[in-house]
Amino acid sequence: MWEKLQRSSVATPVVPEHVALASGAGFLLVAVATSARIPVAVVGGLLVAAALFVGPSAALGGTSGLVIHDLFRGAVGVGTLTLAVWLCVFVGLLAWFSPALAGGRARLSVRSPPRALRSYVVGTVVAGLYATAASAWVATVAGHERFYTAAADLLPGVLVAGLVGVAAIVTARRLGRAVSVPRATVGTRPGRLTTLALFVVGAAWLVGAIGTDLLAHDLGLFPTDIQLAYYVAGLLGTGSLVATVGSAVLLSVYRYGELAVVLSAPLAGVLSWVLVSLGRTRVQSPTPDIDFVNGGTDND
Amino acid sequence: MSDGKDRSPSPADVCIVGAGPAGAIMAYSLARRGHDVVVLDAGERYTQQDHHRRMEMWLRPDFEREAFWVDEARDRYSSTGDIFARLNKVRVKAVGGTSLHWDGNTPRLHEKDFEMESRYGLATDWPISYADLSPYYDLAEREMGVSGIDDNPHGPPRDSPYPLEGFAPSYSDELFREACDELGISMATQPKAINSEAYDGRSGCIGYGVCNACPSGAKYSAEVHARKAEAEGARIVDQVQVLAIEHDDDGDSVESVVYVTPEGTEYRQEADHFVVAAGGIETPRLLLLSDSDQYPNGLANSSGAVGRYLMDHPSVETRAVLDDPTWQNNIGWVSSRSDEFYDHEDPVPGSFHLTFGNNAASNSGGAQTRDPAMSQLLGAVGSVEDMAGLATDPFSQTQLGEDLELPTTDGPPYPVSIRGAGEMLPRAENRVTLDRSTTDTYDRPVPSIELSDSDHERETMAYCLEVQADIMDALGAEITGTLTLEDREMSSHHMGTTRMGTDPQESVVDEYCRTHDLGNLWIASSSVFPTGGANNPTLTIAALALRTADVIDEELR
Amino acid sequence: MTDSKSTLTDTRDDLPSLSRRQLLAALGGAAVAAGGYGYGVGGGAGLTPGGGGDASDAPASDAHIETLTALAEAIYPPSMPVDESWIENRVFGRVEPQEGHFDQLVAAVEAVDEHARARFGGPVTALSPGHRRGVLHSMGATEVHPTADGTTAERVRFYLLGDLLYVMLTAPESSDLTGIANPPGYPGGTDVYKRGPGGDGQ
Repeated sequence: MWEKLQRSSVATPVVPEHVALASGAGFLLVAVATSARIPVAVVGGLLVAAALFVGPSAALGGTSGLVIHDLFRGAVGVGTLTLAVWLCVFVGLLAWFSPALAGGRARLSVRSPPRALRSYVVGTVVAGLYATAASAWVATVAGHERFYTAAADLLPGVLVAGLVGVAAIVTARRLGRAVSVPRATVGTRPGRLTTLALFVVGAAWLVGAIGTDLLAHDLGLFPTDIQLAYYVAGLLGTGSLVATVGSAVLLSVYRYGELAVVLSAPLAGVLSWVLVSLGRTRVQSPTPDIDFVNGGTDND
Repeated sequence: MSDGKDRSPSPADVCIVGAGPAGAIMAYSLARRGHDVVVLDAGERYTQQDHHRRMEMWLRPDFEREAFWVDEARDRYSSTGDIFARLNKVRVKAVGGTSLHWDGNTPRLHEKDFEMESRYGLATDWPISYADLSPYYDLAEREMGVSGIDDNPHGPPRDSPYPLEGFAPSYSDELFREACDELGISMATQPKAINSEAYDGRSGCIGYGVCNACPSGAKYSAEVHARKAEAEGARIVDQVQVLAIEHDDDGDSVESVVYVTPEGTEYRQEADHFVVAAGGIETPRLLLLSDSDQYPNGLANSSGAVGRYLMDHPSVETRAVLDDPTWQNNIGWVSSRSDEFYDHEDPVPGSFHLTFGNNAASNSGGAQTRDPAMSQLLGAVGSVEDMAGLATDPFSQTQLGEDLELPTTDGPPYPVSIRGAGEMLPRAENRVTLDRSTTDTYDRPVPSIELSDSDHERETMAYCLEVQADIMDALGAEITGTLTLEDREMSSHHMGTTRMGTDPQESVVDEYCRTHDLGNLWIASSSVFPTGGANNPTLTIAALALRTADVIDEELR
Repeated sequence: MTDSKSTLTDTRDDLPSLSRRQLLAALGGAAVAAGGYGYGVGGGAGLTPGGGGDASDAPASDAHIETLTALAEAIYPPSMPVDESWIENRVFGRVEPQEGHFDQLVAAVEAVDEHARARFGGPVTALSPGHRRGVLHSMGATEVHPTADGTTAERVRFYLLGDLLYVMLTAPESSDLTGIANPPGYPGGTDVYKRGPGGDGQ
């Protein structure tokens, strides 16, 4: 997947002036939002949507703006890191998914707005899942926050990115600013099945890790596994299948739940990589896959 | 963790294992009479500041209360019966033993408790009577500093007044009194080893309200007698684990106990007499661990009774609310009790006593803890309203500021509670054994506790709950909940596991708490109780220890 | 030795819960170190107590007390009287419950203040009580169980919120809020419990 991402970033050049501009804008945005006590997720969501206009530079600019801002505040920390991870993963994946972002020269697809909208929304959902899970994972592993609270903080950002982006695309079309749709390199974007599979993996990662983390944290109220076992026996009884499975599951979560959350990222990463590789094999097969959900025939 | 203390053996007439109430009081009683005494305790010694720390741990639900003394690897155990043993929640390994977090209640056993078989055909009689122990009860009350009022119409007979003036009933006790009067149930004040005034170099109670971790020293703990024993020349060696008791070639007497220091050095402490005073669980465990060719089933265990007949005090509670203020949580201790149902006529239901709560409201909680999000999630299943709430607050957020949830006794309604503790009959299958699949820090098998209730306990406590409900009715209170035997875990009173008796085939120690098998090995612990009655055991433990000390003193002369 | 009641959160006991959290912390520490994040990292291997120097003598500076007081104003109900000297006496004047506790508390205060500056545009003291609560919420401290060796948010919950609530609930100043005239943890004597609601004074 990373190879793919790299390729997509080659296909979508990052323009230095854009990054510089975006850094300034990012700094201002973060500073203004901070002073106005706008939640960090909203700031992130806006920066993601900004990628529609300036391409992945938005993420880089936003991230550097954020770092500069936090440096000024003397508050660079895990919080800076997690938001930066969220932005970079989000926009990186979105650029890969969505042709509207692929040009890197402020291009909005109006030639085929439904497709652009569709690809943007699908891209936002899948990229948002990965970005939120990755960022929450970093917050957890860095000992900053629980996975579930970190994820809950950033999830609204996905919604913001989606809504603002959709609004931008629709508005651009209304204004009739017909801009040619950049053509992304064939095969750099995932096919429909791959997208679906990535959605499933991303959702399973995020939801699974939230649930596991939450349950492990709650079960942690039992100081020892003995007490948990007694509690579960009182709740489910003993001997039945439900009791056996239930207590085994709960004890496993109690003992290894937090470890599972830590291992969730490598697992999701490897799984995604495998899926993308499989997808590429399909794309490169003699029969072209014309069922791209998120670019459709634009691709060829 | 070397602290530079000398923990090597020293010449001793008596070596005592365990510095809880039994061990410390016996050490003082013997040292006072000029005998050389060495006391070995596995736990640490604490300071006054430590008790302030313990108070905070006790009050804060986010602290682990027992973290102070529990060494999880050292204190490991298994619990296999219906009733969870929760050992490390209730026993304390430290100088002072479990008296470091007792409530200070010092009722005596009743006469009937010594005569269960002859009166009811149940269990067994003690080899001694209440009258035999009575003078030692008096002495124990003076040693511990018991405050009390002689106002219990159903209490056991007393030969002398309480050493300290008693504490008056609480405001809510007086509410209960009216209800109990209506039902013809007598109430009495609760005798307590808490100073009502300065006594024995300690201050009177100043009302911290956290008796289990009393920071003022007004409540008795065996640290008092550890100090007094030292002042009389005894040696208290802390943080040494006794690993085994070794006997002579004939197996008639004990020669030494083997112990290990924090640095890992093993020593042998020799003495003329040895007293095991390690509580109802560790005492039988140490005997079982000290097996030998002569005693393949454990030292002093030719009867096979070591570890068997484990008893505790099953308890039930009824909680209710009143429309009028009940003035709860203004003092830590229970101030009133009822022994109306203690001396029963028929075998069943058996004895129980009632205590009337002064802390019916939780004094912690609120924002100090957070509700588990998972229970909120499970609770919301099937309720549209709760599901909507879940959507806005999926992770059970704690509200701060104006909406801060506080532990409160404010009402209406106002909380009240009655608790009852009852007798458990000794049964051989309730027992402490060695779990050889699990070991502690010293590679020794851990104790395995198996405890279940029988019909006697169930019928007794069911009746107790009926009485509680009647009182609540008479009070005009609305019952909000009960804690029944189904909810219970093992109590902190561990009794019966080295029972006292005249027949060496049936019991472990004789009437003076000397083991039948070894002439110089004694046991000072609730583990010698043949039956446990329905009252808190500490005063009886102390009385028996003082009685045994007199016999050892005679032997040493 | 009366038994305390058993509840779900009150069944504390026994065997090692192993080092799940330690493992996590270790992994976190490694990740932070690998990331080269040396500056201002509040979490990971441990909260780094700030200030340096006489941690044992005076763990908290005036600024820490000021910040903690500002947070207390936001956490306590508005009718609870609180000022800096009260906070200093009650919080830092008590026997330190465990070794290093005050240092961890100070580190938690710093972590909250840092978050406030980064995401709320200024130090805690410059924010309204509502925004101070917002800071705690957005750190994830209001949706976790207090955990002494947990993430930064859990430590803020344990050390900062836990301490503030403890000193409030053990002080007679909270009596009006709780209806408990002699709150547990406060040596209010042995008359109050007999007096009943009709009596007066403490």
